[in-house]
Amino acid sequence: MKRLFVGFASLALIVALSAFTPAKTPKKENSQPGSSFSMPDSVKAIVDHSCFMCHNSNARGDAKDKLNFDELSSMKGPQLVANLANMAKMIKNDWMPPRKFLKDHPEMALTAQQKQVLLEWIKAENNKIFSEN
Amino acid sequence: MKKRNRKLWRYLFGTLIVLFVVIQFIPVHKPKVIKDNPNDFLLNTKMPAHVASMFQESCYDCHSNQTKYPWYARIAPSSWLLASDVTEGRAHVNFSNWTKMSKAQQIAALSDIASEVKSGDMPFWAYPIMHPKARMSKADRKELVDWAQKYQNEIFYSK
Repeated sequence: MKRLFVGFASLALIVALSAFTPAKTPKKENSQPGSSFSMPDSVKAIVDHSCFMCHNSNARGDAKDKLNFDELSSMKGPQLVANLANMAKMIKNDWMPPRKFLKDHPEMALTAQQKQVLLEWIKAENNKIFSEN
Repeated sequence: MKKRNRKLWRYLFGTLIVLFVVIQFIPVHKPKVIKDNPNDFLLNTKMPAHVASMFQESCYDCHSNQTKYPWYARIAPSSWLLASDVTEGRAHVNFSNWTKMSKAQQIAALSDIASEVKSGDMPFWAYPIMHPKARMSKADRKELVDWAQKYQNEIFYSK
């Protein structure tokens, strides 16, 4: 009986633990066949630090409906251009990360230098997309 | 007791009136109206006329330089609300500057028109209450969304 209980308890523990470990999202290659979308490590580091927390497929809330970094790399053409241009708008206007959010996470604010890295990347990506079509 | 209550109400009402008068003197920065906009979206695109007039009625108060301020835009506190709405609206997209926008910005604006109008997020829910002409039927919305999506592709593939 005792052994049975221990067995069940450890099973329950394993189930509980696995529920709390974040679901692994398959790592996407930086460039995929058919689209030359690429995100250099310098950009990815900023995105991971300041944006990805809300803008990913598993995030709670509706930020991912506006922009989802898990889906960005599979986007093409006008849709990708629109997403990138809107990203630039948000960064330029200091609308993202939201001020309210930064109250609790001040370390996630974008520095002037980080903003520049993102904006230059966006510009280069958009130019590339236009030149390829 | 009753007398005291009445006195209290009178004080409260008096204070409100004084407050109302005082707030009228707080300066409000209302975005300026510019009538002549050669770079305008509707002037420089071939949106079907009836969609265009609907678009102008529904969007241009906040998303262009041609804001038609209502009478209550002169009175605080509604003036504050309008000033902030128009400021924010123009910052998001100002259709008076269309030809000065980059191709990417134009495509983003058209994609936003399609998604915001389709979802019903725009026009902002409170706006059509005060502006009956901005009430769009389902068919109106669909026509605008279809046009925006088509035109977005046109710009993307144009050289």
